[in-house]
Amino acid sequence: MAVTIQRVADKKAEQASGYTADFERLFQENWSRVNKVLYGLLGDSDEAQDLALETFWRLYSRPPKDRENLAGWLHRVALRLGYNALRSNKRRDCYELEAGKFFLNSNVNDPSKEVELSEQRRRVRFALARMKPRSAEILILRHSGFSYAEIGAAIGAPATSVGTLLARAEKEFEKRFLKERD
Amino acid sequence: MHLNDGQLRASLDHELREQEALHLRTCTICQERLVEISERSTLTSQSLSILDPHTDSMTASASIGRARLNETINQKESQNMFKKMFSRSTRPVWVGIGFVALLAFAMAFAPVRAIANSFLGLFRVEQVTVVRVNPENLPQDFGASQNFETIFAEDVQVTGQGEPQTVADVQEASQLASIPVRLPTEVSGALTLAVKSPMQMTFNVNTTHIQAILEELGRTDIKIPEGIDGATVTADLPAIVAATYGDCGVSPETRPEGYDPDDPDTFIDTRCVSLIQMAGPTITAPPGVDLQQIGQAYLEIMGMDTKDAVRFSKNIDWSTTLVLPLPIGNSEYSEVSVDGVTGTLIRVTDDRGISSYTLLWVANDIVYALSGNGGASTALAIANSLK
Repeated sequence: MAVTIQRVADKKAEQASGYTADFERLFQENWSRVNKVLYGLLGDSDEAQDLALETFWRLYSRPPKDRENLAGWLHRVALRLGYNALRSNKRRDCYELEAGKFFLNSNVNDPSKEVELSEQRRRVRFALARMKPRSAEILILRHSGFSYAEIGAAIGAPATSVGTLLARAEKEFEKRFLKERD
Repeated sequence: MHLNDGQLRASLDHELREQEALHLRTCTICQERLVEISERSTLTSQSLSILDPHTDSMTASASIGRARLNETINQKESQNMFKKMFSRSTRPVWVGIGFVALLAFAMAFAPVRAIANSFLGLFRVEQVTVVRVNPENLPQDFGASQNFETIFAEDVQVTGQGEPQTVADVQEASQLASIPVRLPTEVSGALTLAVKSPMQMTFNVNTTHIQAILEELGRTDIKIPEGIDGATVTADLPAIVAATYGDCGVSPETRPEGYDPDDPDTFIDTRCVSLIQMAGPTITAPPGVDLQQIGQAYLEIMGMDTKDAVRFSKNIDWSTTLVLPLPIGNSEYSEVSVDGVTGTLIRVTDDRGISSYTLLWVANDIVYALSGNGGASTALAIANSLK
């Protein structure tokens, strides 16, 4: 996707107008998708939204030189931010624990199932957090519906090598996930 | 020839080329291997699926997100304290503000600057080298990173910060600073002598934070050397003696209106001569860190392209050399013979056409920095008159 983000010379005018039309379109097209990816990675809507904002702020303030595939660039920045947060792992277990307590005390149909699901999510995130960042990025980008060409552009690799990278990433995920499960 | 794992994986996403797809349809060996790859892919896909939001309410709507982004933009653009320090001004902020300010900058920007600024290993300044950098190559809004604040809050501890103490004479300065203070005879203007007490900075290296900054700067291509995560770097900056002749406009009593120490445009005052002297700073860190690699990263961050950074980095002793980044523009530098050693003379002509110099040299383990108006002959005459 070729998009030109035109920066207005006058800062005040820029602030008043908010964003240029291109930026606005990019925001509308990708906000929800970026949010979902980050939420999936982190399991916390507030944190996901904060990092989504950070992602779009970076696009606004320091857009990449290469304006092709800005959606891919956005997702990669978001994933890297999310992945760093995931790896820091400071509050992650807390979220999961709180989620478990919430389901146990709530009126959901089957609290024990929800608790189990919560535990599964923890395992998946744990496995992702221990993978090589690039491999985790590839998995999530593919899971988010990106084509091989888009993934390749996002991670700076030829589309023809995405299959290999994906196979490798899935192998790594399986190993870490099963290890965590066992 | 059978398909490899990547091709088999691509077949699951219908990203296989026709010829390969044809082979797969007829090859039982490939099909058997595909089963295994497919099972792994399914496991991954199902696992990731459970991370998907259960409801749309778990993600903010675009309208709310946009409103919050507007707030973020306004907030970040108005509050960024680091912007001033690294404005894209062609004026070489490094020069003229003296060595103290330079080191203060270096300290302040520990995550990107100090790590690379020869600060790992056991470091003691023995020489000074200038490296030209093009401010245009620096990442946009360099220094405007909010992640810097995170590092200051979480990773950096500074002790011993305090206002310089004015002293009566050389003897008192020498005693306080524990170095034999020398002063020039070939200089005019009223002398003010001050000593700043030693300072220590402890930096707990957190590569995640540094990586976040590099990403924010758009420099994900710069690799942080492995093995430094969790390292504690301690920088001991000995007492600094500052001798100023004439009105430098930086003391609280004489600061001009509008003076802002964070703003290079008001920081520099060329009406005086200043001489800074201090024992070389000592930096300690766990051994085994590749200084050359760190030096290369530093140079790249400063805007040098990778090829030049590799070459420059190889030819320098990072453990004993203080590398000063000097912006390309209205400044030039040269090696000069001064005080019995080789020093570095940086000359600048500012927007008003006024020439100034900063002369740096290391003699008998004391680092000297002399700044003032004029050219090389003025600088050398003053420097060579130290008693």
